[in-house]
Amino acid sequence: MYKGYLCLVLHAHLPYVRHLDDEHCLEERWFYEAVTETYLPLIDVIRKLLEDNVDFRLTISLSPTLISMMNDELLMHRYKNHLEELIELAEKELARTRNMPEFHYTAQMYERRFTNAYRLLFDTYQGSLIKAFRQLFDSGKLELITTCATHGYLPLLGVQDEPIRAQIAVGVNLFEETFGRRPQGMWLPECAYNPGHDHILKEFGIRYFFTDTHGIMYASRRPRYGVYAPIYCPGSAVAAFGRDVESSKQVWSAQEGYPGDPDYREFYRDIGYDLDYDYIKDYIHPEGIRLDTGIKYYRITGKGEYKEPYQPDWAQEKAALHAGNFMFNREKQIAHLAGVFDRKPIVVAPYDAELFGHWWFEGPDFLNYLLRKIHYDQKIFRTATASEYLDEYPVNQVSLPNPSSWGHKGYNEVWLEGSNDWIYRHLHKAGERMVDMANRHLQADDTRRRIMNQAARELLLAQSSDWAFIMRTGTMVNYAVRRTKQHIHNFTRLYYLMQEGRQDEEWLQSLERSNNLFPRIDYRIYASNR
Amino acid sequence: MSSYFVALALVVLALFSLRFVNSPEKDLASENTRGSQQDFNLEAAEELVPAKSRPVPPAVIDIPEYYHDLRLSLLVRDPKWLFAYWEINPDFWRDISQQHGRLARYENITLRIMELANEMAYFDIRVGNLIGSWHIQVPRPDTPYYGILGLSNGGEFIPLLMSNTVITPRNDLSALGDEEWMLVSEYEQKIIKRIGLIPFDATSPFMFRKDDISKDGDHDQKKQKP
Repeated sequence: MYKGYLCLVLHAHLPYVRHLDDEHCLEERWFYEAVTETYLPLIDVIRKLLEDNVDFRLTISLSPTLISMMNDELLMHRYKNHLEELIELAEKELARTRNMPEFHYTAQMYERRFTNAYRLLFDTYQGSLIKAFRQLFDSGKLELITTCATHGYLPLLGVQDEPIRAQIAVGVNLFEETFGRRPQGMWLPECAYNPGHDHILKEFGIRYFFTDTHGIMYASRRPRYGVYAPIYCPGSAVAAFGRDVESSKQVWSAQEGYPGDPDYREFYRDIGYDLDYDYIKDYIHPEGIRLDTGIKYYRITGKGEYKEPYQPDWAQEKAALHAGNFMFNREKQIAHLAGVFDRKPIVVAPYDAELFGHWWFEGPDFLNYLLRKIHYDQKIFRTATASEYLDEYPVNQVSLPNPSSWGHKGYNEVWLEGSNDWIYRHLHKAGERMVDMANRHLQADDTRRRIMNQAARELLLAQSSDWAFIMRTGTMVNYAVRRTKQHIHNFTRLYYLMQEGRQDEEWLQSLERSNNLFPRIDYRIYASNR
Repeated sequence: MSSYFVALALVVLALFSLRFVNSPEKDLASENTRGSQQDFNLEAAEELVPAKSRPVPPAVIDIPEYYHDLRLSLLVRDPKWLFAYWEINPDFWRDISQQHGRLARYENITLRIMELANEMAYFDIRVGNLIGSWHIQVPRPDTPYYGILGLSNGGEFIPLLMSNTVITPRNDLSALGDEEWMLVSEYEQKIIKRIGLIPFDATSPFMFRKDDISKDGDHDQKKQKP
């Protein structure tokens, strides 16, 4: 008899980056790197667990922008070329390192990984990541959920409900179109919650969402079980699950977390920077800009600049060791909680998916070992999804979660501070204009409908939480500013086309080609009385 | 002295090991320190933002600086801070100038932050601009606030426009400990809806107190609570 549950949640998200006229756009590489290093390795781990009849549960949130990129022919075509070049580079590396025993084994690993990734995606799943996720979803062991359309930071989108509802509606609709059913849960972008959002989630049949620890701990009334059981939001009865600090820290923390172990691969030593220009020039940006290729030969070693060669077998052993340690700590934690609770506790451990594989190269292996060990090596707890927990415990305390986020300092400051506060005047105005436009033109001819649909896309794209986040981090600020301004500019121009009853077919078509996500969007999602 | 030799040995070892992967270009050496300060506690959207990239020139995209609006908006930053932005359009300002004469000067434009539940609890900030924004420290978490933009020369306050109301989040445990419990069961809701006997919205979940659950004994609520 299990004493409790572990709910592992991976949130996979990237902003929509697709530059039609720039084949070598560096920002598109965020997607390519994440596919090779995170999404395909995760798919591979899950399918092997299924093949081996390991009983496990895992929740993955796929953001609508990410789903859109996975569904995009152009991006997937470019990704195929990218992966082919990577395999070519890995083969060259086999030759280059043949007399370097300390690197050759690792070079072989890369060649094998990239080739297997190619076969998995293009042979097994015919080039469709969505197909892969759908098949795994159908197994019942993986629960897919989604988030808001473009990861808009809901508490800062304005005082009107309509733009918030549109973010949720577009996300839920795309998920349903893609996977044939509605998501049971919703990942609130950046775990940012304000009272009232739950009522909108309820409209779309969402049963649960996640908050950071203090979203539950500071809820009112005081939660009897802390973060180890969900609470129901008053009125909406949507369940809120809180993040567990202990399990998060073990994986998340740069200082104390597993990913900083000396045996793990060092992210910042990539041959894209380290090797001679003439050798590497065909695999970096054509303008000569050096970048990460994904081939890295060193391990973290220590804090200084001195790095030792990566030993894949040591890293694997460490991943297994860490998985065992993580499991052991959950056993102790859950056994303790079960001893003082009158119900089975649930420990919710959510992470950004891209941590696994991209930053923490061995992250997918850790998950693999962890899920196998949990299944075979202990009987204290098992993995569960939030919806399974609600099925088992439909009676929960009613309490209002505290407004909060999982960003630095726990509230809205990351997305509302000196570097990015200027965007809200524009986002709010555009949101209000969109609502006004939809209300005034519930019926429209084909061209006007297309103008308003594109205006909705531009507004959604401007609202991505990623731009404010990047402005705050200080790297790539100009790109984030440019994207925000570009989408506001596009929106405003479309708005005036409608206001003035004009048309600009050529420009509209070019926008529809460039910012082409959510092809079935209906601008009337912004109408106040739908 | 011995630590000097250890350090020297480490440097030599580092240089030696680098030779095996050809020589990295010198101007890129600094790149290798990029990630040593990575903060995983942050929301990690930045994970995929490359530290080095093609420089993107500052945007020269034309967006409006203001919207000819009359508005004051408040946003919550955290339990102790709000953010306000406002715009007083020139037409409105012209009317105000005619109405209030010498008081209607830019330097008298004042933002008053009020506690919703206590009209005596407020403070003023001279913002002195028709269009602007401000980060504002407020005294209390878990408190509703609103703002009024007005004219003041330190004495009289002439209100011009009002903001939305916001509530600062809590930053501690709630003082309310009494519990309410709810059953959310699709099956039960269907029955309730069909019977149609309930006095509230049929789609609302059936609500009851925890004591009721203990009485009916169907639920796992029998042990002593922690």
